[in-house]
Formats: sequence, C-alpha cells, structure tokens
Amino acid sequence: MKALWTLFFLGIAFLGPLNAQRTISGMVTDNNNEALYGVTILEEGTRNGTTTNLDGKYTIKLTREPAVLNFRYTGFLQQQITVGASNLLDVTLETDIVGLEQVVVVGYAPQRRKDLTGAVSSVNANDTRDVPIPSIEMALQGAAAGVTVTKNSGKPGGGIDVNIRGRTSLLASNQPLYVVDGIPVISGDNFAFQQEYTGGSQVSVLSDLNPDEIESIEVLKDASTAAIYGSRAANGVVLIKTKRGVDGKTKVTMNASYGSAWLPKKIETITGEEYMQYSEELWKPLLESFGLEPTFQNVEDNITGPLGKANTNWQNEIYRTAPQQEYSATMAGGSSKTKFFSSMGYSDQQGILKNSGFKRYSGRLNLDHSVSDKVKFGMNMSYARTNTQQVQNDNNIYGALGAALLTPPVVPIRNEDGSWGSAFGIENAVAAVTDYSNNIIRGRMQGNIYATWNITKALSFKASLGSDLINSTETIYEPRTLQSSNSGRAVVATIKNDRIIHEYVLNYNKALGDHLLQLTGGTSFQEDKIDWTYVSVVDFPTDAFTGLSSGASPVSTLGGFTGDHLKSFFGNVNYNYKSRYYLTGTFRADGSSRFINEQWGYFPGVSAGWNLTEESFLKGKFMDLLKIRLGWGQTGNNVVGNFLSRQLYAGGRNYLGTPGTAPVQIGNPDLKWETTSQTNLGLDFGILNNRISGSLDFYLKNTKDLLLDRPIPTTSGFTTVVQNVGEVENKGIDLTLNTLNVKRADFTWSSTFTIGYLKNKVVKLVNGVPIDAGYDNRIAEGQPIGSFFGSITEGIFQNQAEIDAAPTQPNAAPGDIRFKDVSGGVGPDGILGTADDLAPDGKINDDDRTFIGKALPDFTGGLRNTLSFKGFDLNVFFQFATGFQIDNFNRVFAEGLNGVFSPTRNAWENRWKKEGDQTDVPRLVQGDPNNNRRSSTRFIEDGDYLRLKTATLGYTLPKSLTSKIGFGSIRLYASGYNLWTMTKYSWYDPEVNTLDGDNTGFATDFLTFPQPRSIVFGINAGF
Amino acid sequence: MKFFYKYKLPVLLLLFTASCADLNDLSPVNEIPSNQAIQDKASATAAINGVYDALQTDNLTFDGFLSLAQYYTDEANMTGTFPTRFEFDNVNVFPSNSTMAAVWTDFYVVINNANNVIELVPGVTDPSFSAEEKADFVAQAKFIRAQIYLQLVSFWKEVPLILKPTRDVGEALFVAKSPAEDIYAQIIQDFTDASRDLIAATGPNVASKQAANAFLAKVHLNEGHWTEALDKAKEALGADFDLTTVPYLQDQIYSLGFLPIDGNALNFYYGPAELGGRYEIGPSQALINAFEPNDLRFDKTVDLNSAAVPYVLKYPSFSAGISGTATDPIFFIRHAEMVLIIAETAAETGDFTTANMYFNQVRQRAGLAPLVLDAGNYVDAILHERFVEFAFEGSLRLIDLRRRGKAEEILGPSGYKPCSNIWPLPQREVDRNPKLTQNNCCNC
Repeated sequence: MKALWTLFFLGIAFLGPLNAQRTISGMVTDNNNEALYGVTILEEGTRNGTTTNLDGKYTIKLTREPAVLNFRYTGFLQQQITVGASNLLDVTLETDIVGLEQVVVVGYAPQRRKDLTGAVSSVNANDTRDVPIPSIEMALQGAAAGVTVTKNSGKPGGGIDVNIRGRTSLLASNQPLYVVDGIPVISGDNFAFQQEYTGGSQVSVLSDLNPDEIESIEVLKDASTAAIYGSRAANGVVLIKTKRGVDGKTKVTMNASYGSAWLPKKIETITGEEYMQYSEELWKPLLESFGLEPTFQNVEDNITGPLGKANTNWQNEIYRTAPQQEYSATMAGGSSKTKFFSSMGYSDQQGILKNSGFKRYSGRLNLDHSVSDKVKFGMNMSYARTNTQQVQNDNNIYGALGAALLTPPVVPIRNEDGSWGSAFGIENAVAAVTDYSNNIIRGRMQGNIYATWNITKALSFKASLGSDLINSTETIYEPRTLQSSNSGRAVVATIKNDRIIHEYVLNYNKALGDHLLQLTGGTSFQEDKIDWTYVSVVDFPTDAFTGLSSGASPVSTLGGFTGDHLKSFFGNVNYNYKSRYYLTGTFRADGSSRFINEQWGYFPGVSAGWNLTEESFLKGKFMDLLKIRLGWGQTGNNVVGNFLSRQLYAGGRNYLGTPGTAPVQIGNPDLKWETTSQTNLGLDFGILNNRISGSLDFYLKNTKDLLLDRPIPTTSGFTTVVQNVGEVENKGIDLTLNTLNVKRADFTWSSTFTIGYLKNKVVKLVNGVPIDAGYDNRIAEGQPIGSFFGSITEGIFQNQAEIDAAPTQPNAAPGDIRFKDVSGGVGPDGILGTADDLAPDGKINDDDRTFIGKALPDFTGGLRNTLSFKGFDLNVFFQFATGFQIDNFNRVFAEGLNGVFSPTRNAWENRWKKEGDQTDVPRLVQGDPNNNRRSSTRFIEDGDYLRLKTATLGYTLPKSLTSKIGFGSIRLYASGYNLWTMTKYSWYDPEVNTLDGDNTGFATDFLTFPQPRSIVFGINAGF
Repeated sequence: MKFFYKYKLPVLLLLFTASCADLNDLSPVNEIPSNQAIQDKASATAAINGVYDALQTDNLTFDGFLSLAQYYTDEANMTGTFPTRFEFDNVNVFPSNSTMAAVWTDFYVVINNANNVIELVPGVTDPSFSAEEKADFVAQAKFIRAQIYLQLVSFWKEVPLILKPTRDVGEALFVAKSPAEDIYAQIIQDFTDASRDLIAATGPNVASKQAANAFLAKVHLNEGHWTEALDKAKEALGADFDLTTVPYLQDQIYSLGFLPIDGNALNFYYGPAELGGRYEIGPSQALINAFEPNDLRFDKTVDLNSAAVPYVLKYPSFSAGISGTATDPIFFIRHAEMVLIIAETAAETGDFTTANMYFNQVRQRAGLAPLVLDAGNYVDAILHERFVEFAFEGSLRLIDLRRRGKAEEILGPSGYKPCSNIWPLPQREVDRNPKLTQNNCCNC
C-alpha cells in the first residue's frame, strides 16, 4: 500500500500524465537472434520490473513518462533504452565479451570492472558453465594469465596446486586465499585433511564446493587490490561468488552427465620370460660364487625365494575404465522483495585405479530479503557430504602403482593356495586396490548470514556472521590378506575444523559532480579451532570384523587441538574523476595468535589508473579502451603452524608404558609475517569495437622475512627453526588476449589466449646455506625454488681404458655411467654449486653435484576457442607449460637394473651389454656399485607440454521444439578431458606432483596416480 | 552524540570485534612451554622417560644401533632396496647419505634431551623429590648421554661434544669437533658419575650401577686400558658369576625395552617376505660360516631353512606384523660381553688362566668344546667368539675390527680401505655448521 502511495506521489512529482500507464512489450534476443529467457527489465528509478518468458517476450506497464528501461542479463552488456512513442520495443543484447560492466567485489567494496586499477582476472560462469569441471580450482585453468593450475595426480578428490604469479614461500602456503561470498573458507592449506599416510597425495577440501553453483570468480593477482586481505594475500586471492536469485519467474536448470575415464598410456614393462632372464643375469656372479648355474630356478632356490612362473601384466590388473556421472539441478527466482537461489548436486567420479573415487552430495540455498528500502538481509548456506575413496600410492611399498610397476611379472596374481602372490614384501598390486579400504567422509556446512542497512543514500552498513564447519572422518581397514597387515588393522581418524568469522563494514559512496568517492572501513574477527583424533588397532578375530572395538591391540591413540585467532581492521578508498583518473588506497591491519612479539602486521596498497579513452584526444577514436594502471602494495603470509613461535616440550614420549616428555620445538618468539611487496604496471585495451581486447601486466614481487624452516646444526637436538629470514623474488608478465574472430548472425568464434612468464629466484637464505627438499630439489640462493640438484651424466663407460683415462670414479666398470667432474669441492663461500667452487679435481664424488634443472615453468598459459554455429557450440581449451623439468624418480627404481625390481622394457632392451653399445642405459649389475642411480641428469626430464585439456561440443535444440515439450532450453553435449598431449616426458603424465602440498619438492613423479582421460555425455535443460 | 545515538548499532558492532577477540588465549594440548617442562618430581620423571624414548626412533633402533655398522662389516648383507643402505654395504658411504644423517640427528636429539634433564633437575624445588632421587635422574641422563657419545665416537671418531641444552638459535649452535680423547674422557666421567649416583643396582631396561660399570669396561677396552677394563668388567659381573647358568640371550645387563603400543619394526626389517618382512638385511655367508658345527647359538641367530633366504632370528616377533608393535629388545650389553672382556683383558695382561676360565664359559654355554687361549691365538679367538656371540646385537663387530686394527685385513675384499675407519660427517651438518670440517675419510 505504501508503495502505491509512493508511486502516486512520484507520479505527481514528475508531473507526468496520471493516466500514462502505457504497456510496452517486445522480445529480447541475443546476437544470434535467439530468444533470451529470464532477462530482467527494470524501469529506471522505480521498483517496477519484469522478466522475459521462454520465448524472450515481455510486457511491462510503465509508471512514468518519459521512461527508461534497463535490460539486464548475466553475460550480456546492460542496455538502457528510453522508451519512444512505439509500444513495441525489441532489444538485442550484446554479449559482454570483456565484462566491463560487470560488478566485481574487490574485498569489501563492489566496483565496476572497468574501474579497476589493480590486476584482477575474472572467470565468468559463462566461460565454464558449458564445460563440466570436477573442482572449482579447475575453473581457473587457462582463464587467467599468471595463474597456474596443476592437478597433482589423477586421484579423484585429490590435491590441486594453484599458483598465482609464482611462488613466494618455502614454508608457509603458496596457495591463494579462497573467499566464497565474502567468507574466507577453509582450503586445507594449514592443516591436511588426511591423517593416514597413503603416499604423497592428499585430499582437496575445496572439492567440497559444487562448481555448478558458481556465478563468477575473480582472481586478485596484485598487491594493491589483494592488500585488503592483508596477512593471507601474498599468493593472491580467489573471490568466488555463488549464484543468486533474481526477481521474476522461477527458473529451473538441470544438468546430467555420464561418461568414462581411462588411463591414456601405460608404461611398457617386460614379460615373465624376460624377467627370468633379467634375474639370471642379475644374480649370475653371486650364483657362480656359490658354484651354481645361473638359472632362474637357482635364483629362486638360493636367493629370492619362490617368485613364480607367471606372466602377469600388473598394470592391466589395477586400472579400469571408470564411470563418471554428475547430476545437478538449480532453481532461482523470487519477488522484488525476496529472492532465492537453490541447488542440489550429486557427483560421482570414479578413479581409474580400481576402488578409488570421489562422491559429492551438495546443496545450497541463497536467500536475499529486503525488509524495506533501507534494510536487507540474507543468507548463503551450503552443505556438502563427500566421500573420497583412496588406495595407497606413491612412495609406499604398499602402494598399488609401486607394486604394479616394480613387482616381477613372474609373480602370479594369486598363488595356488588362493593367497595373493607377492614378492619382496611389496604389496600385491591387485590386493592393494581390492582388499584395502580407505574412505574419507567429510560433512561441510558453510555459509553466512548478513544484514545491510542503508543508513543514508550514501552510507551503508553491513554485518555478517559466517562459518565454515568441516567434519572429516577417515576409516581404514587393512585385512590380513595384505602385506601391510598381519592380523587386520583398523584406523579411525577424525578432524573437526570450525571456523567462525564475523565482519562489520561501513560503506560510503558519494558522487560530487564528476568526482566519485567510495570509502570502506571495517573490522573482522576470525577463529579457527581444529580438534583431531587418530586411533589405530591391530589383531582382529577375522577380517569380517573391521570396527575399532574388535581389535585386540591398540597401536596408537592420539588426539589434539590446534587453532588460531585473527583480528583485523581494514579500510579502502576508491576515487575517480569522470571515470578518467582513478586513485585507490587500501589498508589492513591483522593481528594473529600465531605470533608472540610481532602480533600485528600492517598492509598498505595504493594504485592509480588513467583511462585514456575518456580523454578528448582518444574518445571516439579507434581505441575502445586504453587504460593504464599502476599499483603497489604489501601483502603477507601467515599460513604456518599455529604454535610455531613457542618453545615447546611435548608429551607422548613414553618409555615402557610410563609417560614421558621431550623438547620438540626450539621456537622463535620473534616470528612474524612474510611480507610480499608487489608493483604492478598494467594496461587494458580494446580495439575494433572491443573485438580485440585484453590486458598486459608486468609485475615485480619481492618477498622478504621469509618464514623459513632454517636448517640448523642437528647437534642442537633440533633440525630446523622457523625464522623470518631470506628473500624470494618473482617477476613476470601476464598477457590476456580476447578476440572475437567471427561474428555473424549464425556463427561466432571467439578466443581467449593467456600466457604468463615467470622468473623466480631465491635471493637470500640464512648464511647462504642451501636447503634440500623433495627427492632431488635444492633451494639455493640465485636459483629458482624447485631447482634440481645432482650429477651430470656423460654417457656410458665402454671399456676399462675409458675408466682409467677418466676422472677417478670409485667402483666404476664398463657399462656404468660416466659422471662429469664438475668441481673439486666448495670454494671460499662454503657452498657447493656456486661460481667459486674449486676446479675439477679428477675425482667423482658428491662435490660434483650441481644444478641440473628447475621445476617452475618459464611460460604457462592456455588458449580457449569458443565457437557457435546455429544451435551448435564448441569450446576447445588447450593448456601449455614450457621451460621446466620433472624429476622422474620412478626410473630410479624401475630402470635401476640393480636389484630385484622388475625393469621397464626401455631399461631392459636398451641396457648396455657389450662394448660399443650406444645407449644411455647402464649395465645390469646387482647392488649398483657405481651408484648409477644417484641423483643425476639421467632422471631429470623435460616436462614441456601442450595439452588439449578440455573440448566440449554442444547442440542446443531449437526453441520451437523445446517449448513444445515445456522446456525453455535443452542442450546436449559431449565433453572430453585431457584428450591429447604433446610432450617428451617419458612417464605417465607431465602434470604431476607426487609431493602434494610440499612447497619446495615439487615437479617430482614417483609412483603417482596418473591423470585420466575422460569423455562424458550430458544434457542441460532449463524451464 | 546525536550521531552516536542514531548509528549506535554499527558503531557498537565495530567496537565489539575490537574488544572480544583475544589473540593470546589459545594453547596446544599436547605440548607445554619448555620453561614449565621440568618443575617437580612428576615432570622430571616424565622428562627422563623422554630421554629413553628418544632411543626408540626407527632411525636409531634399526639403522643407528644395528644395521649400518652391520652392513659395513662381514656380519650382514644388504638385501633390501634403499640406495643409502647399499652405500654402507658397499663400504662406500657418501657424505650425502641421508640415512646416516638421520641417525646422526637422532643421536643428538637424545643428547639434547639428556642435557635438559642434567641442567634442570638439580634446580627443581619439590619437597617430595629427594637429593638422591635428583642425583639419580641426572645420573640416568648422563648414562644415556655417554652411551650415545660412545656410539658417535666409535663411528665418526671426532664429533661436537655438547653438554648444555639448546636454548636459542644463536652462535652457540655452531660447535666444532672435539678430539676423540676429550670425548672419551667425558664418556668415562659420565659413566663414573652414573655408577656412583644411580639408585638401581641392576636393569635391564633402565640405567643401573651394573650397566654403568659394564659400559666403563667397554670404553676402557676400546681405549686399550686393559686393567681398568678388567676391573670394571669384574665389578659389573659381581663375584662368583657363572655365565653357564644363564641361558643365551637372557643374560641382559642393559637393553632397550618395548611394548606393543610403543614397539619397534625390527622384525619387519630382518624378516623374510614369507614372514611378512621386507628383508632389508640378511646374514652374510661369512657369519654363517663363522659358526662352528653344533654351536647352540646358531639356531637363535640365523634360520637357513624356514624361508627361501637365510634370515636373522635375533628379533623374532614376526607375528607382530609391520605396524611397529614388535617388542624384541635391543641388547645393549649382556653379561657375556663382560665375560669376554675379562678374558681378553686378562690375556692382554698375561693371565691366561683367568682368560681361559672366562672364555670357555661362553663356549660351554654354546655347547662347544673348550678352546685353549694362548698368546698366539687369543686375539683372533676372542674376536671370533664375540662375532658369533653378539651377531646382529649392535655394532660390536665394526668396533672390534677397528680397535684391533683388523678391519682392512678382514673387510678389505669388500672394499674396506684405511679411510673407511671413519665415516664421513653428514654433508648437511657440514653445510649448516661452518665450524665443522669434513672428516678425511671418504672416496679414498
């Protein structure tokens, strides 16, 4: 009633004819003349609005004259049209290629994309909605220059490494901060949500979020924008906005897909017969020393024990073609007062290793309600329940892959008595995938409630209370049929992580003539509490009992608590003059319970922008957009252990059942944040009606006060102390290029090309002392993080004369690898691998190790092509990385040719056999006296790759057809993932990271779950 | 004021965050600040237990106390997969050997734990904590510290001698090597203090007066102090001790004990695949051949028949599986060692009557005929007897061959060179500590 009165008076106020309630109708279409369903039409200055129906038609009763209508539709440029004399108004909306009008929330204040002065990359739901992705991190792939996304393994629900503009930290996190609808969510960065060791790979708690619920993602890459998140923003910030309801008719969308995943490539191994020959050759000297013939029978009888005479291809036994399915439905709608978005989803990604998989049930409800013009409140709530089913892997003799690649093929899958065949204490690969049972079930409730109060037109206040609650339970049972368990072993481990956050923000917006001023200030308090338990029990009556209570002997009963508090004050000023000159200032102060003497950190950011196209000399010229941005800021990294500052004595150091304590941490009360200062110079451009547009950014990132596990002499009783020492530098260039290649009525083709160049360098460490990490990684001054350290191979010794002539290499014999004499030892600086190393000394030893590769690529990027032709759409995405190496540690074992492990076909066939053999594989010799397997260039391989990451072909049924059966739209699609790869890398896949979550030992491949290839078929429907 | 009245809600809420949040009210629940760790008798008891516990790490139980020295000699063969252990078996140890570095580190963790007790316990004020008890605690810590320094000096000869707990990360972290004599002097001092202050007369699972004397005998034997070694060995054995009345392996003086919930994995490393082991280590042919026919000890040392491979029986809880639940003790010192020290030192001092009497107690218990020691045969005979008697129980073989100067002669064929008498210092220690210079040891 009140509204009516308002309208009434408004009518009078504008002196319009009181009876001027014209009804306007028309149709809204896109470039292809396809009707757009659900376009919001609002009469400017009023709350009068409507939406288009399935046929794109609308009618609206005007409340005033002259009237201006606003047409809004996600992914399209907003249009404002002044209603003319005609009552018919058809509108064609232009696709918003650049997303300039899009409102992005940078921190706590909404801004139009075109007003941004920092380096912010956007991922529109449009770019990815047609391409099914398993986890939200994958949506960032190739969408933003300078953002590198690597799936660490093919394990469903497994860890994904997201790196924004290089690596800043050796100890603290290198992963960005994830903020969902304003709430920084738990990303598993400071606490691994997996307690039982199953190998290097971990689980990703971000996989709890259903990607279908996401409206848009913004990536804050530079410090001038990210500084608003202060102490957690050094690795960039990923802002995720979930979908919200719009007023109008309730819209329903449904998605269903089904497909398969499989292993694209197998490693070639040898046959049973060949293994027998291998074994005879290996043990020949020993058997002869016993006075025995070198026969396989004698090997079995005298050395290895019975192995078997089978011919098993273990890889064939553990992989499978794995079904993939996903179903989701969303519903959105509302009235002018109350709007809602809800979704439900189910996803089941089975792993290509048998008995692995990831299932997710998820639901969400987002509500917004306007109490009055001034007060609005709402909530976002999501719940997910996931089940990650794991098998053991990686550096683990009970791992499926280790067993499959290293167990001799002569070993039968099952012995005659029905038990699993096995050799050398390694798990039977089939048993490893079938008998082992490990499930991580997580329940996660995440959301927030908020209220906003528009105190005046310019001033508003927002209070929000958010929470992210994760309950994770790992349940493991290892029956006695496994090597890893004699009498049954059960583990139950739980993690309860509660995050509560409350935030209060004041926003002030004022336009004074051509000056636009936006002020934001607020406070935030966040607390995290993590409670965990871990119980393992052995000795079960039979394997039919798998519960903890049935085991006779407890082995571990552990539990504890950890947590942190973060208190913050922040502020932000955005100013622009005529959308031409921009100035932004940001400040945040963070106080953290993780530190003692240096609890508070202060993080400023400033940036300026100049939109040249608004200047008279460029306005209306060929440039549609030319904007220069310059920014500087400081961000921090506090993602280290919660109690690392303290000097601690730990309990649980028991002896013979009596409780004991011992010093565990030397502590450092002066610990503080890592500080990253970043300068960004950027350019946004658009020409030819924005048909070519993009941005180019240069950045320089300096991280100092590095939180570093400084290695200390272990004679202290400690191996490391965390200190703020050291510096890392990242510099690089990000380029994003969007082109609209073809734009015709029935055919459009657009491309997005992103490329990031990165140069990472460790500037300073404590006393220059290098730090070894991973298997062969070494962190050293002047080298990028993730450099590989080892010897250099120089072919194979063909005969004794060559050995005698070469630098002294103890135990070398013909057929062994010849290593390069690099240095005679450390020089005056006391550090090996630096320029002042002594001259080669004619001896091959540890001094001859040097830097032999690097794990961080020079260039990463992607190319996405989106085509549509009539009802068809095609989305093809290539990803690439060049200029890096991978430590293929698999071959240290599978091509060692030194022991009982079965070699690869490559090693077996190409091994050095006699003088003159031209090969890079050494001789077969038991025990490897020359240490041919030492860390060396032999195992460091180029990782460069170009990959067809995703390709999706869709067909949208004509509206005329779908509307007949009551649907707004129906689209059928086929989507492929990881379809084609060009690489020289010899193992399964160059996208690999065995030491999941390790900051320093990356690009290592050791018996890791390989990436699958998959194709799914699906249907999107809406009404 | 009007402004505040009107906007009280937001202003109050903004202030709320500022006031409610405390940054200092969180504490871990499994750790306590170090300065509160040793405050009374109960916490001191826990701290001393923590010193024993530090001996039980995987690195020490298998590699530190047992395997590395066993691979290095003719006692054992490397039958597993770890390249770093192969280096020991090949008598070609690189400074970069990570297994060796882990052992070194864990040795010094024990030392730091012990140093904390030694420094803090005397200052505890607790009426229920008597001066004798405090002295006993300190003595236990000194005993274990000396035990570890004996291992360190036997393997590396010159190592940093650290007698104070680590309190901060300043310059004090960088400690140079001490001469072997200084380390031996400290070891003797610690064991002497321990034999005086320890309350327990006998063990075997904790430090005792008897064990302290036994260690003193060992140390003096290493040093060639024959009479001191003889005296201490006799003191450790006590009067009228007859080894033949105690079954083999039950004559423990000092052992590291385990419970299933806090066990070891030695069964797993020594066990063959048939018994669920990974068979990382196996008996050498030389050791098998060293047993005389009908030696009763053989069946408690090596099994040649039950599996395809010969395997060691000294850690026989094979049914425990691999989950670190085995309870087989590590025998640090047995009475038999004292008996053989008396035999050896008596022989050295020309008293072959005593030497023969003690020596043949060992042989008699093993079901073997007596062997008459004389000036010409006693060195080899006693070395041999110690080899088979203490096979796989520690690093005795390596230490024996080195102290007798026999290592090159016996181990030469497997690559032992003059420089093999000292292991290289772990490279990472040399890298981290500018005061530490690498041993002149390796790749010679």
